[in-house]
Formats: sequence, C-alpha cells, structure tokens
Amino acid sequence: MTHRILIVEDNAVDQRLFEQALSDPTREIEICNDGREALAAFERHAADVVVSDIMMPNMEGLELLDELHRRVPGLPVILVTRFGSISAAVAAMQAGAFDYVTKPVEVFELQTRVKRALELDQLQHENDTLRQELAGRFGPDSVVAESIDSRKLMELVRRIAASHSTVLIQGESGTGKELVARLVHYWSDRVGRPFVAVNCKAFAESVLESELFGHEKGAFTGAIAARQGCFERASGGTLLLDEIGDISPEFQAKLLRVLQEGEVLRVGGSEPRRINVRVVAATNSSLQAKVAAGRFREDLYFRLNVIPIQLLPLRERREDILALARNFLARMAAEAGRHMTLDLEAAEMLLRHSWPGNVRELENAIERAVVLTRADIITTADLMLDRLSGPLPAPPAAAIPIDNATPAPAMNEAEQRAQRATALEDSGDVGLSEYLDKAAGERIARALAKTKGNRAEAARNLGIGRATLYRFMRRLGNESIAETHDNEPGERQ
Amino acid sequence: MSPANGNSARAISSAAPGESTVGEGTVSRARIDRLRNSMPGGDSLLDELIDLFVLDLPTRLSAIAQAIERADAPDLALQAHALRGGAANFGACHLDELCGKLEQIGVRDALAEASAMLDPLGRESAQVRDALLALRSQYPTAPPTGRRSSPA
Repeated sequence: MTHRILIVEDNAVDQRLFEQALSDPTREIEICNDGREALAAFERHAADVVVSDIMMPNMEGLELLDELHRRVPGLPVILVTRFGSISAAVAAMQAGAFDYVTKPVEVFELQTRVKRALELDQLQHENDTLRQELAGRFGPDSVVAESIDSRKLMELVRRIAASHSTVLIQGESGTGKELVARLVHYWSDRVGRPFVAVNCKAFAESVLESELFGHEKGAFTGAIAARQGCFERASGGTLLLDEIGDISPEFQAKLLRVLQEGEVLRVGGSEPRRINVRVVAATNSSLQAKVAAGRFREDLYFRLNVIPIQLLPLRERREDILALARNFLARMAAEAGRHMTLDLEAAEMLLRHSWPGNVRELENAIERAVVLTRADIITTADLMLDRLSGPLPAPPAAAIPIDNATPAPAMNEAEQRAQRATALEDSGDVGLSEYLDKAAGERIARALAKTKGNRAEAARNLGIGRATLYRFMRRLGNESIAETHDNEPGERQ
Repeated sequence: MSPANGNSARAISSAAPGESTVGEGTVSRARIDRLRNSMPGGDSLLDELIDLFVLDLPTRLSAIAQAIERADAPDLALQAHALRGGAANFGACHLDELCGKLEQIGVRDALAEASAMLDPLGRESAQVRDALLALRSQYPTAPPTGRRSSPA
C-alpha cells in the first residue's frame, strides 16, 4: 500500500529537507508552496498525511487544516511551528492537528511523527473496515428472523441493548446464545469497546478464577507476569459468561461478590479494581431448576437474571429454517464465488428435519453440502439428512463404523433422539453427522494432499470459499482430516 | 566521507580570525553536523540544501526590500518567515533573529522600524552565504538545477 504525503512549505530548503526525510519506496510525496496549492492538490488526489508550515502565503496552516478537515474529518495534519512558539503549538493542537514539530526541524522527530500518523491512518482504515464488517454481520437487517417468535426476540434485544442490566440467555445448545449476546453488545452504546466471551466450562476451577479475575505476578507457579482477567479486558464493553450453569458453588460465591461490588481482585492481589462491564450470562440448562435442586445460588441467579431471554429450539420456529439455510448457503457460496440454491425437495427435507443440534446443526449441514457438491443446486442427496431416519449406506471410504439404528416412524422426536443416543452409547460408534462430516473431511483432505497443503488452492479446487474450508477444518480439527487422509490416500470423486 | 567531514569542521572553526564572514556564530557547526548525520547521503543532501538556500537568498532579500518599499506588512512577515525557516536549518542564529524581528514588524504592521534593518540583514545574509559556501566547497557536486515545485 502506498501512502501519500503532502508537504506544504514555502521555503525551498525545508521543502527538500522534509522530502528527503520522509522519502520511502512505499510513499508518494507531493510538495506544495502554500495552502491554496495544497488544497488543490488534495482535491486532485487525497493524501494520508499532510505536513504543513503554519505561516504561509495565500492560505495559512490553520486555515488549511480547517479546510482539509472539512473534506476529511480526522485527517492527520502535522503543523510546523517555530521553536519556542508555545501559542502556535497550542493553537495547532486545539484546531485539531494530529501533532506539531518545531523549526528547525529535527529529522528523526519529523519521521517519527509522520510514521505515527500513518500508523493511525492504517488503524483507522482497519477499524472502519472491521466496523463495516461488523455492521454487516450484526446489523439489524443482517439477522435472520422470519418467525414471529424470532422477530419478537429481536425486538426485545433491541430494547434491552440500550440498558446496562445483566442479561441471562437460556436455550438449547446451538440456538444462537452467543449471537444474541453479541447483538446485545453491538446494538448497545458499548459497541467499539471489547466483547469478550468465556466458556466457563472450558476451564478448571483454579484456572477459571485467574482467567476471569486476572492474577498478579508470582500468584502461583507459572505466573511469571501479572495478567488482566476477562473482566478487566472487557472494560467498557460486554462480557459473555457462557455455560454459567456449570460453575461450582465456591466459584458462584466469588462471582456473586464481583457482580455485587463491581470490582475484581486479581488472584494473588490485594487491591480490588473497579470494573465497568456489562455481563451477559448464558446456559443451555435451566438455572431455575438448578436453583430448585440447590445446585445454583439463588442470589446469583437473581443477580444474573435481571433480563431473561429464552431462545427457542429451531424445531419450534420452523419458519426460520429455510431463511437461515438460504442465508448460510448464500454466504458460503459467495465466499467461493458461486451461486447456489436449494432445490424444492432439499428445502422440504430441511423443514422436516428435527434439528436437535439447532441452528449450529443446520449451518453445519449446509456447509457440508457445499463442500460435498460440485453442482450449484443442493439436493436431498447432498444434505443426506434422510439417512437420519433410515438405514445408512456403506461408508464411502475407510471402514467407518456407524450407527445403524432405524427409528420407527411412529416414534416422536425425543424418542428418536434417545434411541440414537442409546445406540451410540451402546456401540461406541460415531453418529451420522460425524460420519457425514468425515466424508466431507476426506474430500478436503484429498484436495489438500493434491495441492500439497495449499489451502487457498484446495478451496478453489473444491469450489468452496477459504473461509468455509477453514471453518470446516476448525470444526473437524486438522488432525481428523489428516487422519482421514492417511487412511485414504487415493483420490475418489 | 570522514576526511571531508573533518575539513568542513575546520572550515567553520578556522575561518574566524581576521575573517569575520565565516566563523562560529554565523552558522552552527553542531546543527550542520546533526543535519548531515541525520540520514543516509547526508553530505550530498547538505550540499543541496546549501545550494537551495544560496540560490533563494537574493530573491528573498529582494522580496523583503520590496515589501518594505510597498509598505506591505503581511508580505514582509511572510518573506521574513520563509528566510528565517531556511536559515534556522543551518543554525544561522543571528540571521534567524533579524528575520524574526522583521517578521514581528510585519505582524505588528510597524513598518517604520523595518528600513533600518535592511543593511544589517544584507550584511548578515552575506556572511551566512559565505560561511555556507565555504562548507559547500568541501563537497563539490553538480550545480543545482533550481527549486523544486509541486508536480502537475
């Protein structure tokens, strides 16, 4: 990326000196003799940084600064003032200059200021890009909510986002608890501050305390440096405590104290630190039931449950299924530069399926179909969901043991799930999803082998986007793909 | 380049006895050395900067005299400011100071005081020019082609 710098200076010595000091193969420099000339040059071709003398003919530096900021608010402008001219330096900063340097200019000083301005410019650019991306991903129009229940949910999220109250999100696994937590964050005035998500179940008790509250240097073996915890890292933003129902009674007491006092004490520390964090807790179990069973503190439950949100399983909001599926398909196909659609039977199959894994299962199914098919229309064969309720075919590759249970049509969903679970437990075999994932994994492994590990090329050959490939690999784990590949070196399509 | 550096240092310090046009105080050896050492190719850059200053000097002095003659205070301030900026790069403190006074005269619109400063300004400018050319002669390069201007 080439950065463009405008130097605005009316004496030839400084023009040349600044030009030489700032020259770099990655930079394009234009020299102007006064403010008016600079403004014309800027309008012809905008600059990333402007270095301008404060006193010039035609248009002075402060006026130029004002005119430039009218065109590009926040544009880094470095003004050059006389050494000892405090009032000019103050005026420059008050007028919104990024920084100032004094004459005679020290080369290193000028170089440092300009480098910092360019870094800021780069950061702002990245920030803008990320904001646009986030606005796209979490904007009100980007959320799929076809069913009445989902629309009501979005309305609720919109209302509560503005408050700072603690939120408790409950719902089955895969219903989108983290997405809702993110919406609460991104639709609030905390947007732009950190969103930190912690899966409480993923840490051992002792580690969780340090993870959430931080620790001081030497607090325990291996604590070679002090470290901020998630509460501190989320300062000014939102902290998602996922799987909150799984924390121990001892840790519940510690968490309650933090929420009540609004301050954390690092492990090994003696000075509590004030925190300004909105807490969103999430669980796939019923906290109320846990309270009733004496496994979760009632006072903590009430502290967390200020705004309760209950997410419905996908099977109870079927109007969302096709909208979600098409949304996933459009995104994944776009990543690969393809245009893909669902045929009628595939759509019907999606509507019939019970989705025990909820939205996550649906997303995985679409992703798998995109990986497995080379056509632009997804059919029932690509989804392979019918095999959940019928006999499974022989494995396409290695002899993968699979569940062969055939639920009777009269069984309800719960019974079917229970039977599948029992069959799996009894046999120690893999489930259908895993089996299907393994088939897709094999295809990816073969593509990777063919391209000698070049993921971009493998994704191109598979007709999927790199992001889809990475997601799939992350979900399955590189090892499982490598393992599949080791077992199946031959190319089969 | 080290012998040349040594020569330049002598050119400044040894010029003082009996030759008031070149000496410490006219330009600053420390400032010039810092400028030279501040980036790769500092010797040739210094020559180039000296050439630009010396070439620009008559034009600036003339513009200052004309501004005084026309009683154009803002232009006097601007011209003096520009000359001052160039001089400061070589640590030409006295010239810097004179230009600063003229700049203030222009800013305050007190032109009555200006004419009396033209002679001292001319003399000091000549001294700075000679001091710089004495340095410049240590590093002969191609003559400057003129002042850069902004690209079209």
